[in-house]
Amino acid sequence: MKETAGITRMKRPSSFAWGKFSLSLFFALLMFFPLYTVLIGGFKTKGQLLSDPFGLPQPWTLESYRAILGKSGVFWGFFFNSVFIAAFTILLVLVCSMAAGIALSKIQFRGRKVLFNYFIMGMLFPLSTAILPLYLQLRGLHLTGTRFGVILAQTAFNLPLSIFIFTGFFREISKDLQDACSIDGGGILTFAWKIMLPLSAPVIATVTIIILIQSWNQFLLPLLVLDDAKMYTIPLGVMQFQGQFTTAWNQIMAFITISVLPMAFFYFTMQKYVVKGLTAGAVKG
Amino acid sequence: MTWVSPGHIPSTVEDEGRHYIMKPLTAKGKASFQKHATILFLVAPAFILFTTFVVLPVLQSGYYSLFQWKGLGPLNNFQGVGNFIRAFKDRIFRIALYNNVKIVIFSLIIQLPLAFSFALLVARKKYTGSVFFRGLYFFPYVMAEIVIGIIWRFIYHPQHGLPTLFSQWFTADKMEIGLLGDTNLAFWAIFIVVCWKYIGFHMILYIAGLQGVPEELEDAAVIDGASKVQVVFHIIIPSIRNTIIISVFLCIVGSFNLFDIVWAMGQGGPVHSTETLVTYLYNFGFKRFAFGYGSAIAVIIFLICLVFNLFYQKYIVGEAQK
Amino acid sequence: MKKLGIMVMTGLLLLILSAVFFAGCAKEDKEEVTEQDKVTITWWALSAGGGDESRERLRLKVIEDFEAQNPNVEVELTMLENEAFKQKIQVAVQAGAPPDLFHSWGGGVMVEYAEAGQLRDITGFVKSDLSKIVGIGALGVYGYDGKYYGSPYDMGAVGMWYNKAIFEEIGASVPKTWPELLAVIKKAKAAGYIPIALGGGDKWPAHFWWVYLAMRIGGQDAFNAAYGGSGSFKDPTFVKAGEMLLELAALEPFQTGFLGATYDDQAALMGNGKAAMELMGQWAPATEASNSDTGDGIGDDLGWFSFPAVPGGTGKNTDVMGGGNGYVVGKDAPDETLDLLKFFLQKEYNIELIDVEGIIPVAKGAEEALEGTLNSVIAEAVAGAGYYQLYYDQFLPPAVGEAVKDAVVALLAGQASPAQAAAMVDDAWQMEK
Repeated sequence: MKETAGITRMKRPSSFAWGKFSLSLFFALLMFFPLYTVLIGGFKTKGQLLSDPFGLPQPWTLESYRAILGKSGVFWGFFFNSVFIAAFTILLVLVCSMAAGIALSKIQFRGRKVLFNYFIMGMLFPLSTAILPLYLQLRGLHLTGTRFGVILAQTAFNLPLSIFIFTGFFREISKDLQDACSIDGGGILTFAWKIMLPLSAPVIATVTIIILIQSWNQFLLPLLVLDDAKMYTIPLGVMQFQGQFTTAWNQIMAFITISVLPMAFFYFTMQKYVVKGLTAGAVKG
Repeated sequence: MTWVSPGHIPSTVEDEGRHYIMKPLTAKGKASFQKHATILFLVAPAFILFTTFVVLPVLQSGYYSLFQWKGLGPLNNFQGVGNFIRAFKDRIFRIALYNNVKIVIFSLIIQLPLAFSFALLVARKKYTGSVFFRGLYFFPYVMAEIVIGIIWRFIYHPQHGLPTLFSQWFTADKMEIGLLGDTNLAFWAIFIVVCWKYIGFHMILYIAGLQGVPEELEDAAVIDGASKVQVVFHIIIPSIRNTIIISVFLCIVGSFNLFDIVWAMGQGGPVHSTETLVTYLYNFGFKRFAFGYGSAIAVIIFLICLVFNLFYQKYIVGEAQK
Repeated sequence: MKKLGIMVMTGLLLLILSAVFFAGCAKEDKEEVTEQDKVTITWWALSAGGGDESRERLRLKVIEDFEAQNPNVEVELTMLENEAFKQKIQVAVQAGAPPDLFHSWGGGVMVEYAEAGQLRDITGFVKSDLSKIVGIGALGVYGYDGKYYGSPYDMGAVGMWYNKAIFEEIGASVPKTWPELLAVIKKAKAAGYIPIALGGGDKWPAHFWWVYLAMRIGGQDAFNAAYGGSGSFKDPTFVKAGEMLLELAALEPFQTGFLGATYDDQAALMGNGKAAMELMGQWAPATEASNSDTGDGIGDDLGWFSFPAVPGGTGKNTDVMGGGNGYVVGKDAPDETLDLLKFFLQKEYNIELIDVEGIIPVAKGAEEALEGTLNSVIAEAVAGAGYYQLYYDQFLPPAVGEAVKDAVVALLAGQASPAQAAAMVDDAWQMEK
């Protein structure tokens, strides 16, 4: 509260905050309800889940979690594959899109605009519309049945948005800095390495989380590319529980809860940077 | 500085000469070589990956779209634009197109304003829990669409789901409500889920935009006697205009590419009432072994996005620049 | 300084290239090894889903036994859930890379694959070997134009499953004719039960109703006329089938929201004793059980009767619509694949599959194991069928099969008249023919 505010004003913001708080809480409950259903669903028996889907578990059972995390350990395999694929996708996207972003923002050359548009056009394609030719391409390169097939294709489809964000951000980096670096005898790569990279931390965080979300949730691509169930990722794992003739709802709920946890952790720790990165990169006011 | 749209490089960058100029070297040829080597080195990885896995497959799709082809065997039944004509003559295709347009329109008038309100609620004047609320609103966005479909099917379940539970609280008879089985309501049931998932994403965009608007500006306006509504409409919205434009753009392209949620919640049914362009592609291209036709649908989706993008750049972004 | 930057960038570029390279190599290495010493057979099978691994366990056992007898062979098994399998196999086949042995329901989809040259013609092997262990009638579902591409391991029938306890409570007996069925529906409805459970969102459970009605009304002749070209799917038989289905729908026999319900939902209603009847294949008891709250279904209360007769119809009550599960052989499959298929089809495994997958066995002699179970009634119905019709959605080309399902659902939703529904099917058929 500002000190200059008078008595009347002191009251107003405080009641306002309460109004805001209750409104936020109301929306939060609405938004949270489906998550609540999943969260408690994993602790119920299947019978209870169907007869009383929204009540509290009675009794609480860890059966579903045990089935997923226990001896057979299906979850950990899926988890490792998801992490592996996401990590390499992120690494590749960051390297490729930052490098391209530097060229597209800091070097003047003929065809730059065309090249930028060429990449950006990719934002208009959903992966699902070109899936068969994409599969043929991967097969031609002997990449079907490998995790790298998924990684490379995902990387390619994530490049447009990342290049869009990085190019925008790099353009904003002051010319003075660049000149200073230039006078010191550094080239563009030195400038990129010494100055641009450290400045980009929040934008990197933003791009990382966007790709992470996409990669973590990608379904169709890994389904088509991977043959061996040992390589399956988490969304494919969920589908294993949603069978043709049975749906182990309680196990699905437990599985979803666990698979979302890493994302939740990641997001909450990086939240600050993500907003900062978006501010700096994509959505300059 | 405002650059906001894909495909748009503001001329200001070049006018101001902000670009990097290579140091003058003794031999001009050497400098030029070095510069081009650098460009090649920087752009090549992205270019190769993008071309191989995005552009070539998409071009192939474009080629297939000219044939009647089952996806098996040789391409020998050339149709020209026959597949495209067939699409626009098909009633169900028009339903799918209409649904997509509906999703766009209602996203613009419901989802984005809600997302904006959420942003205002949690980004301004920090209070206990605002960061937590922000995280919660964003959370559905991190979940896989296919998983979200599974969850909401469960919530909408006619026999033990939430709508039925509610109706039984408020009415005496044991009425069951099957939203996803109703050709009039299924679309709205799915639309709610789409909003639920993507509101958080747009909220984060707006929050990021709001960071660039100093709170002092608003305080000053309030002191000058402006109402809160006036502050929102006359100060905040004009200040984050570019953020709004990006959000609208992503929302529209996203709507035209909507697939997993709709698929998981009813495969475009009942009776095609929730068909979108991509589910249509899947139902009438993939499932019926009509791959040439499916490719034509893919091309149409792309063209719609492209036309929209060009229009948008020319008029809307152009306006914003003035 | 500059050098450092270049070095870092070069390093990263190398990383990318090596990733591509290794990914390629990893695959090639594998192929090299197998080419030298071993024959590899890839096998894609359907999993039950729901975390149930019994199907996989059985097949792994088969593989182990088979590999023990054939040390030069290595079998790579991929278990896939139904919908996932359909997406994946289609892309693999379209890309010209079918697995060596993969799941198939026979019929139209298989024919498409065969005509595109993606399946291996195993006619000789079927005649010399498989026909000795599997009935030639069942094998016919996996043949086309005098050639065979695979074999079923399960061949059953679609029929009416009913809850005996509910029937007793409402004082109904098993309906033999269509009007009797409608009478039972009214009674069940009046007693507060869901007369018929239907997963209309999945479409295929709904299409069973229309097809069976057409079979009872016009018999084999009507279908052959439409299929053969002397008639069409706009013939009176198919329009009448739509009219009678509307007659049924007018009683509102299905659960609320059935147009958005999945087959799972349908099975759960039966399994929990809330619905009186469902029209479904031989796998129904197992599915009802696993979708019920208790996990056991309604047990001995479950009964089966064949689809009722239509007064004045020319179709016989013994005519059966059904289908099953089986495997076909991919175009590049090594000869050992045929041995594996034959090995899998032997009586002992076929009997085990009764428990594991709820199948109606096809191996000669295996049907004895059914004795005393509900499935024996179905096996008899299959064996005694004068006219055995594979489900339309499998038998007809995919585009027509999809049209049939769409048409029936549109009919039930009140968005198409019987004549329009018949025309939808016929239009698709004429385009495909």
